[in-house]
Amino acid sequence: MNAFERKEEIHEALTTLGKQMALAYAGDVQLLCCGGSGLCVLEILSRSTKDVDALAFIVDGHTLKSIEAFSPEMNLAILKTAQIHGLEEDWFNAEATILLKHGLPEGILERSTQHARQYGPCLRVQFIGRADQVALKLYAAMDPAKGRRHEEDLVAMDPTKEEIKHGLNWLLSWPSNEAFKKRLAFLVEGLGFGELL
Amino acid sequence: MTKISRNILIGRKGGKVSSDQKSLAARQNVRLRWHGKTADGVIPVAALIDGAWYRGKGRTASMALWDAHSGTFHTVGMNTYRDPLTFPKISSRVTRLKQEGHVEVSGGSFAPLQVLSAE
Repeated sequence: MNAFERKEEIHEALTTLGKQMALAYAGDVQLLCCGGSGLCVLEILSRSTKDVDALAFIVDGHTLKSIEAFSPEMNLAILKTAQIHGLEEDWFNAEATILLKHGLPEGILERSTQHARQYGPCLRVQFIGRADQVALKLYAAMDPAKGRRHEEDLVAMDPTKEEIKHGLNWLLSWPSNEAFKKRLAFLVEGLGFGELL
Repeated sequence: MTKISRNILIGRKGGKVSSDQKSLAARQNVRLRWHGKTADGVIPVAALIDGAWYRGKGRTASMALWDAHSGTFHTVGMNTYRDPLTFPKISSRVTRLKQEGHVEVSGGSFAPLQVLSAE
């Protein structure tokens, strides 16, 4: 496989992961996921992706917890799934958990329940909703050096005024300096939503 | 190459001296004769050399290693997270090996423009 071209391939890999976790007695794991795989599952963008980005553990169904590490059993299941589907070893990773440092958009978990799926007895995955994908992309596009590709993604996502407003409100809720606000205004204006500023 | 005075050289730089770089460029040129670049200057998959590094345009990096065996480019991608309080200062950065397909393949995102060096 090597890359996910269609959402069915992502579901297949996650189903295998769920099976492998059950075989390894990995215990119940509930995760909030984002990134390219989320865009593919929600059919927001059609580009291929090589990984699934886990954002946070969902504890007791309503609390988000950052991912320090997956359990050894789950890591083993991730590796076995990679071998079965011809994926990279880190196809399922928790790099995005860093976003919890500043806090996620309010209500992100509730909205994600619309895109929840159980993969076997152990694994439940919830992909963040479209408005939250736009918000996270807006933050990624803030990077002055490497934000260009995320800007292109944002344009391709064709966000609505409400979605940009949602992202803007989230980013403006953080304590930030003038340079941050200026860059954000520049981005939002560039996307054609200057009236929101 | 002829040296006609202390500071003036005539002829090709490097002269007849062979180097890995020249040999790689020659190999690339031979392939490009058969499978020419696209109108955008992109080297097609058929002309790529296994194990060679290419400069180009990609999602994650502007340099990539072509792996013909898996039909993918390997890049070193950096995700940078900026601190909103001290923007544009970096609060954290994650560097990972990434893969990108060739732009001519469905879902691909790396457009190789020039061969750089072999592994």
